[in-house]
Amino acid sequence: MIVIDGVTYTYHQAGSAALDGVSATIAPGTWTVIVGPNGSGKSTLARLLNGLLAPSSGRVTVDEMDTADESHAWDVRSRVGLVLQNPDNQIVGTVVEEDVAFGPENLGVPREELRLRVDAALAAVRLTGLERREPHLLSEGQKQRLAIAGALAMRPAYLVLDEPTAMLDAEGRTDVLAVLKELQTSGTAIVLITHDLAEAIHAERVMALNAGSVVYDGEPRALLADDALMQSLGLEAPPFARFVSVLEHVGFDLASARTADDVVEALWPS
Amino acid sequence: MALVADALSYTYGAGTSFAAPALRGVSLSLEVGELSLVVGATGSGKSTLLRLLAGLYEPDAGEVRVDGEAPGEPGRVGIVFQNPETQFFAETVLDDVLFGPRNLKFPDAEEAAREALESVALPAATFGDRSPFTLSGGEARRAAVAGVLAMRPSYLLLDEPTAGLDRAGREAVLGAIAAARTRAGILVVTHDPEQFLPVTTRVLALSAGAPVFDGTVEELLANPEAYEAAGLELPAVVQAQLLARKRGAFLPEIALDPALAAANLIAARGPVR
Ligand SMILES: Nc1ncnc2c1ncn2[C@@H]1O[C@H](COP(=O)(O)OP(=O)(O)OP(=O)(O)O)[C@@H](O)[C@H]1O
Ligand SMILES: Nc1ncnc2c1ncn2[C@@H]1O[C@H](COP(=O)(O)OP(=O)(O)OP(=O)(O)O)[C@@H](O)[C@H]1O
Ligand SMILES: [Mg+2]
Ligand SMILES: [Mg+2]
Repeated sequence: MIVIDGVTYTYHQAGSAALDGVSATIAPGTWTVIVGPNGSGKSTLARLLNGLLAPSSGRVTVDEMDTADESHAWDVRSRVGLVLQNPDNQIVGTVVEEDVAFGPENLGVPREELRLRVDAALAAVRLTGLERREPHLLSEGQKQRLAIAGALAMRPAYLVLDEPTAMLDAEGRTDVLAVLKELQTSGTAIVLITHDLAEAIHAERVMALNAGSVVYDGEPRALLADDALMQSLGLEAPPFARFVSVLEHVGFDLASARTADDVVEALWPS
Repeated sequence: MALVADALSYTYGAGTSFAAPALRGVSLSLEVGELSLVVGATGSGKSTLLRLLAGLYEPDAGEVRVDGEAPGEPGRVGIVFQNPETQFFAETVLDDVLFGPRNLKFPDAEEAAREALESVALPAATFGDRSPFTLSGGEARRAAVAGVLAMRPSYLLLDEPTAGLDRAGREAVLGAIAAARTRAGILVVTHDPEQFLPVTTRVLALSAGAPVFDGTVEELLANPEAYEAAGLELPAVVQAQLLARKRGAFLPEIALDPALAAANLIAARGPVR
């Protein structure tokens, strides 16, 4: 369990707090989506979850270890994987496969297993074949996939991903979400930051941040139904959801429709 | 007057053992007032194309012409990189955005910078004195866009200008693009074409460095096969209408607006029984 207890964080020389009195818990094996406007504190919260930042006040504990306690830093980082918003800030290896191996190698994963993990992680994000490429010679989407592969290879108990699909093509987004689903099934808790409400709509839980505070924490339907809150968060139902809701309004049963196929099948059964 | 690319090819690491062609025979023409999209899967060559158009790389074959001349004249072509942080160098956001217009000796440089920041919803009063390197992801992207808008280029090359933006930021940037379009040609690289399609002149789709579709939005909706075969997805709202047609629904037009698309389907389908 990750427990965030009354956390405030103020950046050096900043006038106001980036996070202000945030409390929440992340239970093992759960799926949480975090949304909120630019500058609302999402990335700051992500960095607090794995001890990259320590709270200015309040406490974050990971499986009962205080993240501010330096003696736990290593344990905390190995339990909580973090994929940063900008992959350039994360990539350390001189070639792709070394970069993915870096984390698990430091965890003391034996050689043979290391190879298996690296290959599996690269296959999961479709970077197989680019093992020997220097990371800075990748396209931005490939870098984003590499950063995700690095986190996958760590097999963390909690995986926090800061807008991991922002720079991916449609197929890549579907791929990454599928890999994360699989990880969750094997017990990893997923915390996914996104601006794409389509990624929040079917989540079990959505947390919304605004100006450093948690303004919503619950299941997505109630958030989407709250026009005033959606407005204040600058959120808008995705185009496909708006399309479906017009059809539902005239009586078509589309409660389980996820794709264009589902909609057409409901209107013109084959 | 146009930004023209004629049969561009480019290979990274040419002559080495890992040489890989990134662009193969790509042509385009962008006039002032037009907005064109470049789409394609991860690694298909979109950013490479922009770098060639901006004159940052020399093509191996083919050529780029800016209003008939070789690229390179300062201020004529502006590029916003996909990773905005690679673009910053000054100590404050305002200085960063001011650098271009000042260098171009605009008499109203300061005003151009402030206006550009305002237009992307990063008012100089709040963000001007901040270090660009401490901005949040979405704030950084908007600052990078402002830096290029402030130079008032004739051609704007924008690599994922709305990625990571919240709704207000996206609307501001889309508005700033629309305003710039009155005096510039705009080329947008995006994984999220849905928001641009209603205002797009042409779409160029790349697959493994080669063009697989090049035409207007109407042409794309009429002939989506090559586009989809390249692994690209049309918006789900559009897909639903194309599928409905295949099932025999009478849809005179493919709507991009979700509410209009739903209304058209309802009209074609008739009432729920
Ligand atoms: N190093 C820093 N120094 C000062 N202020 C900072 C720093 N990093 C972030 N901030 C500010 O703290 C606030 C929260 O930033 P954060 O990066 O957490 O936002 P975010 O919700 O992730 O936004 P985005 O959607 O744009 O990525 C913002 O106002 C930002 O400008
Ligand atoms: N500096 C480089 N050296 C060698 N290869 C490179 C370099 N930059 C890019 N590549 C390769 O060239 C191809 C095209 O890259 P490019 O960055 O243009 O793709 P892209 O379409 O912009 O992708 P993305 O959507 O991920 O940003 C990719 O296969 C990439 O790995
Ligand atoms: Mg962020
Ligand atoms: Mg790119």
